[in-house]
Amino acid sequence: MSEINNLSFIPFVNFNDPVFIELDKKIRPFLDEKPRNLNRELQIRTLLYLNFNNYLTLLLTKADDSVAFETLSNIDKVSEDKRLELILKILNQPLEVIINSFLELFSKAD
Amino acid sequence: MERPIKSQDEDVKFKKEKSFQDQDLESVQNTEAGSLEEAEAPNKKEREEKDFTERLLDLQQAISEMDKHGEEIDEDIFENIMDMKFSEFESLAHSGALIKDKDARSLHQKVSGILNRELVDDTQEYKGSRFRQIMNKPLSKVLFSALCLFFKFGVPAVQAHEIKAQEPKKIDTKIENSYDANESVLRDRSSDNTYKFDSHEPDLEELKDSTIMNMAQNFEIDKANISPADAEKIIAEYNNFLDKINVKNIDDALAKEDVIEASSDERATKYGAVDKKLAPTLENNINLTNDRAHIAANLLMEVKKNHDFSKSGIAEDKIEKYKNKEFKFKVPEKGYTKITELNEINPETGEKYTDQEVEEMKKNNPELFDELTEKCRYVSLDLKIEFKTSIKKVNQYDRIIFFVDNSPSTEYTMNDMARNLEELGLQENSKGEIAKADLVYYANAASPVKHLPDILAAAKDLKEKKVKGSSIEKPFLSSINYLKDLIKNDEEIAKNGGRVENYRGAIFTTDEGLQETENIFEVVDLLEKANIKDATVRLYPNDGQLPIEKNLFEIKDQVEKFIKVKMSADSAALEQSKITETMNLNKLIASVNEKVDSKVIQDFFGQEKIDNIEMVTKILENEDFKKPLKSSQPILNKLLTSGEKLMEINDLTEKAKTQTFEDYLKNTRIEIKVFTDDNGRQVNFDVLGYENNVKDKNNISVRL
Repeated sequence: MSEINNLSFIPFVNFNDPVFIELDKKIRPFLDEKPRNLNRELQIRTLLYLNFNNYLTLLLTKADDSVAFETLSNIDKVSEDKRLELILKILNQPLEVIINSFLELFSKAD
Repeated sequence: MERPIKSQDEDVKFKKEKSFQDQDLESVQNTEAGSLEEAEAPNKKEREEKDFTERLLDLQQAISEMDKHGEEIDEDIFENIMDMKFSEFESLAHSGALIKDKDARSLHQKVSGILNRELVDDTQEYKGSRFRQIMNKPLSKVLFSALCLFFKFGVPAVQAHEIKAQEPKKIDTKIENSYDANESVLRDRSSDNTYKFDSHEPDLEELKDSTIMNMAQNFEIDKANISPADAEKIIAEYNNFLDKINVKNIDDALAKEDVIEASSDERATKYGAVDKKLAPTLENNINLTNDRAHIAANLLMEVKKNHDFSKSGIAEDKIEKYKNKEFKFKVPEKGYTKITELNEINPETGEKYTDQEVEEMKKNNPELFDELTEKCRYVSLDLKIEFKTSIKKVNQYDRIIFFVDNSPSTEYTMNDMARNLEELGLQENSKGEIAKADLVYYANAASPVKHLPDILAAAKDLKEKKVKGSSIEKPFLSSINYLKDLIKNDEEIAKNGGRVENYRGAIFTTDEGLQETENIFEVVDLLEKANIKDATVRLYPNDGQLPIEKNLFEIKDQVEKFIKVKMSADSAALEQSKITETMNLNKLIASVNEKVDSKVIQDFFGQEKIDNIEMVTKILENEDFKKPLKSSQPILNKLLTSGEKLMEINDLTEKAKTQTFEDYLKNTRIEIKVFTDDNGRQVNFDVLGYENNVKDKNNISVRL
């Protein structure tokens, strides 16, 4: 795992991915609490993006060390639009489950 | 607990005192009440010891109060408090030895003397602390344990068992959001949007202890007393350390010498003086220092003996041996260290302080005097057991430059740093030589560089160093001047046709997070210009963990990479906000067209219906239109609010498009910090980035 620890942020999912549209919809009530606080809204969206990608990395590293290491080491070779598909295959979990568990933590955390 | 006081004069005063004292004692005992109730009832001996302790506390309080008023305790008061004759007490204090009549001091003085552990022998000459002698005499066992532990710390011995069950000391609990290895989830996040990302599962087997435990601050001023609260801290910290002793390191733990080093500062004390009315003298300092060292040792010994090693897997005989291993002591001959003896450099002269300068400092700069005297006071125990370093490549260099953090907190880690250097010093470079060493101490400013023949000399310098720099720390900033001088020097050498030494590395050591790291770019630039091919930051958590080693160039690269990710995420967030707000505004336009009277729309927009967003933004540019709408038309207010937000987003989007990395860096404060988790094991770097003038910090951490 030490090699994996040296890795930093990995973008599995980009902002324009449908997953984020979905995520964004789900955090909307959160944002609407202070509709005029634009800075706050931007921060939350930035965090959503960074945290969701980090969360995927966490799930991956927890799933299987060797596969995780290999995947994370070679992630640059995988095009961005294929990364989510790849990670879902490795994790063998429905996207909906991942999103829900992530959002639960995300909303609790704020 | 309450006992009648016979002497009427003292009655009022002493009752008042008692009342306060009982409250105090009660508060101390309350913390144990629950656990005691649940635990088995204390046996008779424990009850007796506890009662005796309480009486000693009362006695000390009474003596202290009477001293203040120039009065003396008499036999009646003594018996009322202690429930025993003074002669019995005195006999007990003297380990059963006969007390000769020629001790002509008053009862008050004798009691004071005993409580201050200045047990007089039959010649009345003070022979220094007799703790160790007392400890070896069976008859004094009760008094010893009471005086040394209960009375001095106010903590019953049973508490050592209880305290070890408490949570280990949290060295730095600022970890905001860590990965819970057991639950595979992210947990918690602080209110300031901190996100911590780390999946490192610490390998407990690998943990080696390398902590210096400093107890000087736990002693009361001019006394060898430790308050119950401070004693608890020491007990918890030592128990935390003992928890880490295991089968792998017990042999090392047994082999090492546990040395308590202690010193007082150069201010004279009345401590131990029989006649408190006499002026303080420096001769008393040795007593204070010795007693503090012994008090600390006694407490630690008690904690060790009561520690539960059952889960450590260590063989019984070794546990027993370890529990009985005594502490050794190292104190200056006079018991104190003078400022002039420190390696502290007077910035005005570039030399150590002189006696005259210290005298002037006392009058003109008392803050500095206090700061320096603090460096002269210590009661510390080096807890190191084993320490392994893994700095690689050091043997590639002809010269290593060490930037050593000497801020006050490094007192805990300086020996670790030294030990690391020793290991490095044994490595030979490709020419079969040990690298030369330049040594720079820094805190908020760098000390003059020391050019040393090799790394071992640098290690020796660290070991002997008792000097601490300022508590205002700027790990990198303070080193910059040295690097600038180095570059200038290289340029001079090159100009004169000399060979510029270009094969050198640098190591920054610190026990702190890397504050002020916006300058990391500047420092790395300087390192490159100074022909430093490699620079490593070594972070020393001060709770016995392994140090963290990071290449400074890599850290800089990672920070740079992270900033780019953050810039990209910020832009994407803006884009997402723009999409969302556009949709929202279009919905509001439809609502306004449907619900608001067309005449009102006509008044403000010049036509009966709003065609598009641009019509809204156009109207917003005119403040005269906006104001009357605010109070009378809620739906129009919503529309305009949304329009304003969209305009703001558009402005920021335009700004973001032209923003370069350098612009972002200029307007952003970045810090890298290292945090340990609640168990003091996990270390992460935090990169904090927040734009100036934005109150809410955008605080996100990444692993490096």
